[in-house]
Amino acid sequence: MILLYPTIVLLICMGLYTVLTQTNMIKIIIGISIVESSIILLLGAMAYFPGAAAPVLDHPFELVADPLPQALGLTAIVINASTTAIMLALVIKLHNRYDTLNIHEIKKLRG
Amino acid sequence: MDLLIWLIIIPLFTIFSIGIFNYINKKFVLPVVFTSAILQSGIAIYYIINRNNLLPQLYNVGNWQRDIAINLSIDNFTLVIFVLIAIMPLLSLLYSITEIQRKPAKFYLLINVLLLGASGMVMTADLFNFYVFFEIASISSYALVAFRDEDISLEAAFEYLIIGSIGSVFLLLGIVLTYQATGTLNMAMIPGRMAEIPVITRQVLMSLFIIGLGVKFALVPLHAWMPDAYQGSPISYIVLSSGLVVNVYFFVLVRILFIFFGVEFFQETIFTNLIVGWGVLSMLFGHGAALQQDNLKRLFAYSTIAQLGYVIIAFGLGTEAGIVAGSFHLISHALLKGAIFFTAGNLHKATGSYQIREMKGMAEKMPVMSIIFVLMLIAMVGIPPSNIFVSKWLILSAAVEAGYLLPAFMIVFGSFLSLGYYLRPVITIYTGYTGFPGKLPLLKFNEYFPTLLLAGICLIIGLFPGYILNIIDTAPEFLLEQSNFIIHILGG
Amino acid sequence: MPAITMNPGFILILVGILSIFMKNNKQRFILSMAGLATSLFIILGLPEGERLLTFVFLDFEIILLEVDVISRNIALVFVIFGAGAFIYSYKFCKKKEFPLVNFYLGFSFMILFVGDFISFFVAWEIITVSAFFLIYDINDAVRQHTAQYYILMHVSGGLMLLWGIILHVTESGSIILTMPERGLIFFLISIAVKLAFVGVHTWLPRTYANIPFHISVILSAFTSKIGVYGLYRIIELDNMLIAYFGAFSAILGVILAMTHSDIRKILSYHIVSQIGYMIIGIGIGSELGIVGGSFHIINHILYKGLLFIMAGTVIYSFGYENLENLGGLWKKVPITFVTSLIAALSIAGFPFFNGYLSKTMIKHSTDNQIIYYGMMIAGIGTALSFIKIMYFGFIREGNNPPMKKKPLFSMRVSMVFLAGIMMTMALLPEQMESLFNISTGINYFSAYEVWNGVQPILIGLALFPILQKTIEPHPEQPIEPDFYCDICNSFIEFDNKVSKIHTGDMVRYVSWVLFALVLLLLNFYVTSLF
Repeated sequence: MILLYPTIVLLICMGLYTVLTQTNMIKIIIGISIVESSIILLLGAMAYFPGAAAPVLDHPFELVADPLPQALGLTAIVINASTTAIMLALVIKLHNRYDTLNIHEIKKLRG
Repeated sequence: MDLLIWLIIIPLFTIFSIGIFNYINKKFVLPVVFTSAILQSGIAIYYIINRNNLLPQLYNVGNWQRDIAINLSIDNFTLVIFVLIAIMPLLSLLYSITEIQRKPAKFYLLINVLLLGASGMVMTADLFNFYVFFEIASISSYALVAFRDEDISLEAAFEYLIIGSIGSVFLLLGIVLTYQATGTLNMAMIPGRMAEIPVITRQVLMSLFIIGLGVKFALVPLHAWMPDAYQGSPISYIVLSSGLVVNVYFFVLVRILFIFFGVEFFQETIFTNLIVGWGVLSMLFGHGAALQQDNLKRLFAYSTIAQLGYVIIAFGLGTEAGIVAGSFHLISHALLKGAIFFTAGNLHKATGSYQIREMKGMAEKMPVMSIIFVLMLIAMVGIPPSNIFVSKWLILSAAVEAGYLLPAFMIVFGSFLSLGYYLRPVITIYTGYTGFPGKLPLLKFNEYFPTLLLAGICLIIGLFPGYILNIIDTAPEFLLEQSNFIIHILGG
Repeated sequence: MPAITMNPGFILILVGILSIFMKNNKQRFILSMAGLATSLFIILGLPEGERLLTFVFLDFEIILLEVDVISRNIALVFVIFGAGAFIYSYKFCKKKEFPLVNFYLGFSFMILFVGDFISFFVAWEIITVSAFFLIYDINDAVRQHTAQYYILMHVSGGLMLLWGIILHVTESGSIILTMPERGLIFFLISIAVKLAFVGVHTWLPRTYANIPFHISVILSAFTSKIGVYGLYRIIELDNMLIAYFGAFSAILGVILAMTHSDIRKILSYHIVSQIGYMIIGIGIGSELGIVGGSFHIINHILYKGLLFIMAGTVIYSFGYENLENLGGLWKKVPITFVTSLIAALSIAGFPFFNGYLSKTMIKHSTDNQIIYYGMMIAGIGTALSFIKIMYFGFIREGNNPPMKKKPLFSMRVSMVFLAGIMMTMALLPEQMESLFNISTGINYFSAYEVWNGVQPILIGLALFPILQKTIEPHPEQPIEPDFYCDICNSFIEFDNKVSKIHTGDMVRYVSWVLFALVLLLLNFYVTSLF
């Protein structure tokens, strides 16, 4: 548990580093996915505390995990999935047009 | 009457009906789209007209307790955006009838998703919901930027998508950390608990919200996507974006900052100076970058960035006069910029290009559009009797009253710069050039009507600013006094 | 006679709108003359000293009609010269020019009678915009450049005015047109641009020498005088510093004028110089000074307008305006010669011509020796440069430029009309004084005054043969790059370099986002330390 929050920070940094340094569009998308996933991990970590049960209220319970971050996490997962889908779709289109996956070669817009 | 929920239901319903009608019979798509757009405008206008006896209004989705329920609310500050919701989407859709020839049903579908997200963001009083609406609007924006399916649109869309995703990650982080710190996502309950947490934590949260939403309204230096996206996307989307959606993001940021943290907190932490200075930077950078543009769409994108700089300065003052002035400029810029984009689109019909140097001698082909274009550009500088003159007057006097002399003077300087770049298209269009290719393009009703209507509205607002000022003059109540908002959401 | 309480500017603005729908120039001309006649009728019946036609705009009270002696007299001469200019130019005006000229005149009239800062600013800016469209021409790159220069110069002045107004209004809470409580310097900068004070005068010769002659007649008569009128409205104290600046402007203007050879450039620099006299009169601030200054505005509109009409006629008939190419015109265009001789003697302040009256008034309004000798030097310069125009243009034998077209009847009518008005004014000094409700007691036609008036001209005549080498005509460029162009160009160059940071590299943009976040956090951290 102690390592969880540092891990999340590390993951965010790793993801951003990937976005900034990679030239391959797919790898950039992977970087963004890493950042997004680490935030979902943070949501999970927030909700959980030792000994808590899942927040499904169909049986007697004493301690439950906070359901709101989990709901937010689920929503975020869905949203991330759809953004990633659009990203990948655009990469396919861009690859057809520019014949490359290198982000530095796609520079028609400037100024 | 709880009409406000219909602002979300109608677009949602339209999205599905477009899909169904497109499959059954394509003839029905357009009537459905316009019925829904007219209904949405009607609801917005209904609230604007009956603002005195209806507002503030709260809609409690699912009738839960007010502190845990999803609340939708309209107060007097929301009316600032409602003015735009009443005007922009309908005209933008009208214009798109001829502009979007390829896959129109998809375009209408995406526009409705965008409207759904925008209305939701404006009305929601819950951060969770806000995030969902935010992403709905963002994703449809990405798709709309790529809609023209040209090389540059795809490139711009990808760029917008990456920058936007980074921004929304920070926004989500901000929301998550807010929950961590306060234990609630209800926007009315956060301010009370926010006051108890350490100053530095509050500042970190503030930074995350500013960056997350700043990406979307193109705060310099988070603005880079905007010129690219505008260059690649259809005019109808640009008008909706610069006329409504960008303003919605800004509106939400203002609401979050003012309600969560409070004006006193800004003044304690000299945040006011920072945000005013940032506004000045945004404005000068926008004007400066526009000065050397050769593409009309990019030029106006930079000009939008700069104009939002004025709004940021006005709101950053944190005074009542500043908020009224900022709201007025938000509205008048949106209307005038919409008209300018429509006109640029109409001029584009003759040349087939947005490069300024290829528009040489356009005035001979389209005399009426050209003269309207020129007058609107001059109005944009703030020459009376335009609405921009009134809003600049309000912003300047608010800034001088609050003691920000240098930023106010920078606004004056910025206006001068803007004249510098607006003159270039004017002079190019009014340069004689006989060998103009192509025939005289005939403008259809739906192309010139939105232009003329918006230009007329701008002129009327310029001559009688009272019409708009009456709507927005109570807006500061719900921003400067957190308790008003809290009582409105949670009850007494 | 029932008086109509109406700002006469609105009549001309209405005429401007109506003239868009007229079929030919004759109809537009008749309409414009009818508009001017109506304005004349209204001006004569306006009540003095009351604040009328008020309404509320943005919590401020707009006063659209406030008349005093000076504004009424200036308006009268605007009507007279407007009529002369319309008669002169209606055959050349293009379709778009009639409405624009009417708007221009209308807002010039309006600004004379408004009583608050907002409507003053509105009229101030619309005058600029309509002048921009008058200067602009689709097919002429020089005029496009000139128009751009003109509007940038004037809008920067207008924005200064706006800034000054904002400072004043936030300080005092009222928009009544009066001496500003704060930000006087910004008002002065703005007015300096409008009245072409030395240093910001560059737009004036550039504009008036490059546009068609009939438009330069109209623009030259009104634009800078409105600036002087603005100065009169906002400066209420006597301010010798302003008077010194006026003297400086008067001297530098004539020096610049003497070095040029295009007739219209000489005339333009003379506007700069003559405006100096008006500034002196208003800066001195005594009643006599102000009346002298505004009387000088009236005289100046008439004789400078007439001189521009002369320049226009010369261009129309001979196709040249550089003195180098002209000479011996007096035989070919005698009416033009006689009328412009009247105007030249007036501007030089020769006794029994109208410039003499106002110059004498200004001279009598102060005992200050600097001002006195300043006006003397400026007078010598004026005399010299008009001897130059008259000698090289009309009298000198040698070049005999062929006459292409005879001046039109309408042109001659307007010249005679204006010269007649001037001579009437010049010979009736008491009546002119009573028009301003003032009695100076100066005996204008006594030997002493006449000798004083003739002095500079005699010195000028004496100096002319000596200086002939230096003021000999030479060819000229239409546009000379100046200091302001250099500033603009270097700014645009700098701007181009800055804009290159948008390389289209997406990674760079993402790094800006992160950089902004880090900077924001750092800023909060640093501020929290203190």
